[in-house]
Amino acid sequence: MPKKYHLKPKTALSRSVPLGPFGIIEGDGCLNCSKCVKKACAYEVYQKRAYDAQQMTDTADSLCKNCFRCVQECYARILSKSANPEYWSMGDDYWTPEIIGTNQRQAESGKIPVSGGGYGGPFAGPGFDSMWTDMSEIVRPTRDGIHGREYISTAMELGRACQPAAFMSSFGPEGGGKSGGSPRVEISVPFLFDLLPFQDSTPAVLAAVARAAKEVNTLMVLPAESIAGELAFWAWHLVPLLPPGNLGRFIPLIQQCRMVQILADDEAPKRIEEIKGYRAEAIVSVRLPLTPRAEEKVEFLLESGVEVIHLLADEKGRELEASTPQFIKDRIRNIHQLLVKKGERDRVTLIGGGGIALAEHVAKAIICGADAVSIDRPLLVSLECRLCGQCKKGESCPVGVGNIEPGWGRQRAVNLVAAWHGQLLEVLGAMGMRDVRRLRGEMGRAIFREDIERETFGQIFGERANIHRPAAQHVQQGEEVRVLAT
Amino acid sequence: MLVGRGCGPSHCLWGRDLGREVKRMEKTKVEIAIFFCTHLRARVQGILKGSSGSGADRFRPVALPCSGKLEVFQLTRALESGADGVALFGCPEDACRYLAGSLRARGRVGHTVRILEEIGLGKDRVRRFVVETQPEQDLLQDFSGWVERVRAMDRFRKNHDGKVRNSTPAAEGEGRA
Repeated sequence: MPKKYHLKPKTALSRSVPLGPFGIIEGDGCLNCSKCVKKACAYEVYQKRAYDAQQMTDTADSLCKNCFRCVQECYARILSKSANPEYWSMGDDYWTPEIIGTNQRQAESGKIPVSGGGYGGPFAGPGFDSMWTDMSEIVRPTRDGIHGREYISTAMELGRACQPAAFMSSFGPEGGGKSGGSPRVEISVPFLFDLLPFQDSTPAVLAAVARAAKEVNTLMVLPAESIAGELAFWAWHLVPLLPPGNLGRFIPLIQQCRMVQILADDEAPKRIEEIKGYRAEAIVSVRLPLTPRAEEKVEFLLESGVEVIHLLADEKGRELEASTPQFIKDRIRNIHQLLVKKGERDRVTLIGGGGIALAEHVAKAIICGADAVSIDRPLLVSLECRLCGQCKKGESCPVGVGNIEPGWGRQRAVNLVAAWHGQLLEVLGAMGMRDVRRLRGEMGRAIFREDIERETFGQIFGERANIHRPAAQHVQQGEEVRVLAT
Repeated sequence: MLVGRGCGPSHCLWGRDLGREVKRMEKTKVEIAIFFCTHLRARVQGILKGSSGSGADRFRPVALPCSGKLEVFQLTRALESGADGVALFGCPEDACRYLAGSLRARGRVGHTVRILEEIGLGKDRVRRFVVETQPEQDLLQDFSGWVERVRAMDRFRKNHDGKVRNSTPAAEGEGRA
């Protein structure tokens, strides 16, 4: 019986004090009560309170659980809470502070985030929040649960599916018994590690993420020029992005790596042929920006024999070069359905990247038709990055991401993958599915808010503008900090 | 700061060019911790940008919901952990959105200044700037002038064991008899 895929998360404490969403303000006029509410704090926030020299903040702000007991019970009414502007200015309107915070907590503990107080929302919104996934089988749990003997597989194979004709010709009377199918790579989770948008040339960060890719058995995309020294040791789990031009100096890499990646340009067919000449078993993936012309390019690449197409939206999941960009889930849906109609869906693996911020986005992207997704920013967030972009401006990183110890960084990334893997199992188990590959293109297992709007309310009210309201208003530079209830 | 007369390179007993050392000390970079009310974010950013030419190496800004959130221990611990000076930018007292926040900040900064004066670290190390409607240039001038005064003060240095010790710039260039 094959060994069951199991990740070993281990607590990897944050190096810096995580920012809390709210801060405690203490006024003047303390009565020095003998029964001070600070001593009664159930979380011992005031006893554990300290000064964080690195961020020059009061650690009580991050320890506090916002139960408001001290605020309510203080006789002098000197305690109050307020939004912490440092927290609310993290990230942007897509990569919200909540997303950054939850991913960091998952990277610390490796556990599925559970608040204990139920899910507070958002229940709808733009992007992936406009999809609701099937949970119909959640009331029919298996005897051992989703982690038991009825194993749920999250493994995914990259490459062209074995075609029936090739199979028959291989195993028929004249086939000689050898499989004539295309090369395939199996990864244990349906997400790859993509090019990092920040800290992409920091050796410690790259080493940490590469080690994590090996440990979780997935692939990491890296510029081919940066694969040297320690990184070359993990070539089996790396996907070198080959630059345009002469490939001669990258032949050793092509021969070591299971998959390579090239840019989608007019030279792509020639380069695919060249790479196959160096090593026939190497899978060639093409990095294709998700533009309004993506369908045309997919068809062109299919004719060239490409095995994997890596579709890339921007960091917020939006289509590129479009005046009214669609979201990545809608574009993947279109491309998947186009290929299905042509009967060519199994000739190519689709990987979707850009805007994958939470574990649920993985399942939703697969439902829309992707075979796998690629993640970049979540990996940096797991290393405590706040997506402030200061490193790109040449300023110093507020949390020193570049100075991480690679072993610690590896564990943080593994913890994040473990938490996301656990959530994927929950989603699949709730659908009664035992294999993530069966989820691909299963759009009947989701409700799309736009479709419901059009089919129901649209017939009564006509098309409504702004059906998607952002869950929380992100603070802009110089604006007040406001947190809207959903 | 020079101790003794400037002998000049040819007369210095210790072979040091004291003139050059004074110049180096004048350009010594300082570390300034800056706490500011989030409602003044844009103005503070403008001031920090305008001050970048004054030689201060490290500005460490921290946004607060209100200047009244700052506790006395945050001011003193900021100095203890290596900042040469601490600045607090707050709203005028009658314009504080938390009503008494700015007033509270005034009291806490005043208390901290008295402590620093008492222990001999210099009362000008911690300074509160009230951001009203004055032109940015005036505020920038005020702030830059304060940074230069901090630069001229004794510098906190860390020993090899990481503990902060007080040292005078002159002591580093002073000859020993």
